[in-house]
Amino acid sequence: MKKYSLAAFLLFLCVGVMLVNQRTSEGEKMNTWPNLPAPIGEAPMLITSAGQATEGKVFSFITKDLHLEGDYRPRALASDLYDYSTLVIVAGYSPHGLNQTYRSIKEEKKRVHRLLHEAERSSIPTILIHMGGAARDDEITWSIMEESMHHLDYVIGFREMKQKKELVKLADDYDVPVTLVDEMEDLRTPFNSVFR
Amino acid sequence: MYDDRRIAIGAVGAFLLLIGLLLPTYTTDWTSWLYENIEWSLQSNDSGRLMITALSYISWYLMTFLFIYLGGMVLANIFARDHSSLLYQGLFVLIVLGSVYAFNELYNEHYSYLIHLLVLSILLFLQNFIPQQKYFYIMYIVILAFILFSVQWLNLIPGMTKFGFGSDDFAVSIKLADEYLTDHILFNTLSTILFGVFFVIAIIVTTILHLYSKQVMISRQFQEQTQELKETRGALIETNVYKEIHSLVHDLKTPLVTVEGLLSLLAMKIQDTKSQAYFHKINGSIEKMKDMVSEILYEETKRALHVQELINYVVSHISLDDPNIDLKVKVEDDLPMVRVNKIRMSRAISNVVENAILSLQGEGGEVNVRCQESDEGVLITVQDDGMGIDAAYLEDIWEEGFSTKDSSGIGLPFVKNVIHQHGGTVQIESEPQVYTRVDMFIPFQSKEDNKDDSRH
Repeated sequence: MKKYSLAAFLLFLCVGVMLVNQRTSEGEKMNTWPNLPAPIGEAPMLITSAGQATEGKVFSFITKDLHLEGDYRPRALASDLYDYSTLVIVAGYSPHGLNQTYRSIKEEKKRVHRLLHEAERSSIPTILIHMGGAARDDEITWSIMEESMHHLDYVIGFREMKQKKELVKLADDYDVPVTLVDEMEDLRTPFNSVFR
Repeated sequence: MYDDRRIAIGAVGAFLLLIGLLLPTYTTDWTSWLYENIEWSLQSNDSGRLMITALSYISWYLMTFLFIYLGGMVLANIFARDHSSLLYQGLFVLIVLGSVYAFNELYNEHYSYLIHLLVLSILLFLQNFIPQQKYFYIMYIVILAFILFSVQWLNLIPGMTKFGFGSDDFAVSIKLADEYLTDHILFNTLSTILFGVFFVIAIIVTTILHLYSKQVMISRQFQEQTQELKETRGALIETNVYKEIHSLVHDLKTPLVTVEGLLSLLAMKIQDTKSQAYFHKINGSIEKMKDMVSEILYEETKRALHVQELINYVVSHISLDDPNIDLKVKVEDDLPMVRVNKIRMSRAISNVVENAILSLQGEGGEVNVRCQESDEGVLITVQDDGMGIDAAYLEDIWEEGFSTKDSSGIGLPFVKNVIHQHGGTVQIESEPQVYTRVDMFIPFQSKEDNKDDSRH
């Protein structure tokens, strides 16, 4: 029996961690904005990635489905913003995506920071999208969101996320409206409300 | 020697771990291909391409973790050889989880630890059923590969994300692309099926190997029992032969008495000196024959004998055909007499000398027989420089029926029995591939025993 004890312990540990993870990611229900009461953005929009995850690409396809005019430029610089009326930042840190750009995370954060500054200076509304949910709630992605918050005009994220409470509180501190949704399909309505 | 082996095994384990940890550095083309393919599947709205990418992702991690698990197993083996011991299992778990932590830190990854807790748990359970035989490591690798391949599909089941599975970069990207393309239907279904199928295969493979090994073990036991039965039958036949010889020898007594009686009649009738001398000689021979018959028939029959005479009798009965074997005999001068059953004692010494000769057969060497005085007795030492006896068998060789040379296994127990009957002791000492030495101690004839009772 002794030879099975560690196997049984690991199995129990696994089940325990699974239950804890489920409770942490779901947590209590929170009331957020269902969508914006009035549009704040205008087309064309510049969609860029903060962290080079695939989410940027996926989101660009959603905007196409919504017939919104804009470009997806994952490595856009502050100087590229002059042509656009709205900035959409899709947050999500991907080590493999970043490897494709030959940039470090520090350089990536600096690029995003400059873009946000430029948008603020040019009075361009900035929207942050976090569509990784519980699967992409790592520290680096969270730090990107945290550092960007005071430049933002609207945040759309997933309800299933570890830092959900902190996100809502942070947005509240900077008077940024937040909408949390259950799944990707639900992103469309709040995002549409930015423009229409 | 033992430490050198441990160092070599440790180096192999560390090397395997290192390969696992450094594999992503040498496979950047592969990972770029994965990343680009996820984007391409979105671009072309192609869920089939996404599925191929998912298979490739599973294979990439399978390779990486296979090396890490094997390295962990080899390293844990240095400190504990028994795979079912808690020490081995604990070390194995620590090394694997530590390596996964190092992997995550090294590449800024968030590979789920839950997968490894589950893989380790299943592996530690199943390894108890993998037969510890010749192909253990191959079977272990096959089963480990199946488990890793199946459990990793949990990373790609979107429904398992909230439990902490599939938090690594590629898994998140694949699941997002799948949500956009099929609303999670494809991966919720296929990943669950693939996890189930490969998990069941891993269990079936382990069960088949376990049953096969049991079958092999049973047939091996059956073979051993058949061999044992054959040997016992041989020993029984041998015993029956000895019994018949015993009764034949017993039957010799009657004609001998007749010859002795008739000879005494002849001696009374024919009185010339020459005939009387012949009768005396014949009578002496008859007495000798009677002594021998008594010694064969009665174990307790003993007589006083010079050690030299005993050894000469032993050597005269040994046939040495191999010219490469050198038999050297040395008997100390002026040894007091010993009181022995000549036939049985000489047979016992012959057994030991014949064993020594047998151990040199084919290779040649030297057999030394030495007789010297030692503590109120004579110490007869038989030493050879043959293959020796494994230390593990030194106790068993005195057991009846035990043999390392497919013989009946009654030789050495007979030696021990005879020496003990004479109040002596027998000891064996051996070093494999160096020497074997048998020391037989027989006490000298005491004054009370001086009366010769060899005639019955």
